[in-house]
Amino acid sequence: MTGALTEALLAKVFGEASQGDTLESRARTSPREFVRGQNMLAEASPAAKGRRLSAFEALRIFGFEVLRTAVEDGQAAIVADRTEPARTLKGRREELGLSIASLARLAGLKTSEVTLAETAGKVSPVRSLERLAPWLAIDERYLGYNVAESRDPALGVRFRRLANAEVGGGLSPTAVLKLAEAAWIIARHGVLARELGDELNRARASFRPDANYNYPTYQVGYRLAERTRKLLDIDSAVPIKNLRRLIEDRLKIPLVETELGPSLAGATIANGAHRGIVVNIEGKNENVWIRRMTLAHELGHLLWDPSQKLESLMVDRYDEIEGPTDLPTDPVETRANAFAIALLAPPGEVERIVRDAGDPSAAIAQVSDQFGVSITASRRHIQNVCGLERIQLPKPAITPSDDWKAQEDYTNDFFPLSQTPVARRGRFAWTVVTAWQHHLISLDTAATLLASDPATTSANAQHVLQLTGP
Amino acid sequence: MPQTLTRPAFDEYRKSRTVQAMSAEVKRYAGDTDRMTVDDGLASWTDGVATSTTSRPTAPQVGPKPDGMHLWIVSADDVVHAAETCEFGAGREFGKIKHSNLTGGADAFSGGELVFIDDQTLVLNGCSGRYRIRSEAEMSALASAFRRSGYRVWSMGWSTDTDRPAMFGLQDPEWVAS
Repeated sequence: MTGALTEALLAKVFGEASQGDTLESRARTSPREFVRGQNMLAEASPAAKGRRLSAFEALRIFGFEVLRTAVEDGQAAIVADRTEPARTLKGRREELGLSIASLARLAGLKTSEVTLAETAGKVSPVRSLERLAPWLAIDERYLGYNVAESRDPALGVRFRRLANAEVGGGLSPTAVLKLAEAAWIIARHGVLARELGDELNRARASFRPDANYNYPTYQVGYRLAERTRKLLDIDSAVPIKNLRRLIEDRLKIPLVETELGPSLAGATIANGAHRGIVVNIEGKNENVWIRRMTLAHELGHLLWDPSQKLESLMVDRYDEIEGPTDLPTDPVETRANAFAIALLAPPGEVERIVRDAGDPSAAIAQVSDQFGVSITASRRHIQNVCGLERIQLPKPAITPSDDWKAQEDYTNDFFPLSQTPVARRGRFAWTVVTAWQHHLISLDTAATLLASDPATTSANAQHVLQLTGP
Repeated sequence: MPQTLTRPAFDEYRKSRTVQAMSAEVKRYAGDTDRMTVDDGLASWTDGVATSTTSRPTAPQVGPKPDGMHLWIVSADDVVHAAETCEFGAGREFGKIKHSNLTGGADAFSGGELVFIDDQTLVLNGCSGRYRIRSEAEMSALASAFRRSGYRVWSMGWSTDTDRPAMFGLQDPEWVAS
């Protein structure tokens, strides 16, 4: 303990019952909670309606001197002046090209409440501000307090460019908001996991990005798929039964399942130092085999694309992954597609199946069922691997078995917190509840992150853990 | 100096409230309970003349640490104030006065800060670590008392999120109509 941090001072700030020799240990054992409003932090009291923070999370966000001021003076300022957080909120919304009405609709607020939040000098309940922040990919912890920490400017620029893109029709306001929420989840998930001692994306370090997109690009994708299986010690003949678990548990990559409408398949997002995968649960991805292709495609981008290709936001449409035409012309997408199909259905095994089956049409069904890929992807793969043309699709058409659905399906339908948005119901929910149980965040924070209330969150904590845990 | 308006206005506030000891939580400085005198710049609150309820003017913008800021205290029998930055404060460890310099460390009802926009208009808050305002109702009663003492008053108001008085510079003040 440094000279200035006397036992008396630590006891004053963290309470007599706190223990330990360091600020962190005192904070983690502190029974004291703090409460934040739009522009001030104070020691929590029963009448305070703002966001309650555990001593540990308050320390992490604001630092010891702010906590000390809050205790000694009764309150501490957490914004520099009257312009924040209005300026950050308005600037970010405009950066993403969103109207007040679109933002208000998804955040569940009135347009007048959004306008108030964006007006310098006016005060909004901090809970309203926290409802806005995720949809703008703003880290609500630093909102108004540390503008640089609160949002990733590169992500905002990329959103704006994609939203206004002429090619591909741009992005709808709803898609922008959902992707921004996903970016927020990925970053918050990464921070909470790190504080739990689990560094997400660590396993990606074994995968050195490969800048080779040379013709024939699909062969580069095949090679990278083979290397991926080797690095993960997965035999080339073995189907990957649960790609979600491979991504979340082995590779420790945040995965967000959300509703992105009928045309977007998935995306990779970097929010600050945090990267993750987003997969649409609407449209063609309702078929688990197609969803696996989307996941594998995004994984290909994330594992192997160099950072200059892997922009802060890469969005893939269904017609690029599972379209009626042949492979896309963009070599980055061609390689990711080849990687995806070869990771799920290794070419050597596909050749063997075709050879053994004798009938390419029957082989399509067998490859689909054995490796969990759609019949259109399976047919194209066989055509490419075996150099065949015009193979008839099997009749009757086969669809994923219940086993495939059960192995790969998501947990949304059984999630016990009904108010929690779909995107927050995966491993993120497990991480949030675990962080609360380890006293890293308050129950109020956990409930807020899951868009629920403290009593419901607490009552269903075990169920959430069972449903979403590794 | 007249206290014809001031005395009943603050007596109304004092009714059903009690004095409190200086908070034990505050950071202490050498000389922070040395009592100021009139010669040091301590003044009793006196009546203003702006008693008419004119239409609400544009809200002034006050920075976090405005120049010429005064500290005020409501004690059992007086309302006193003094400039935070003054010779008396400069001679103490903190370099400025603390609310306890206005009381000599004795009990008081509440304290805060204020800044004059002109000689009849002021902006106030209820920020005193030593003599804390205990509720939104108390903050509102104090703002009304200053208004009824004959001044045009802007109050920084109360944060229901933190259950504390709002500070200067972080938001716009509220007009106190009565």
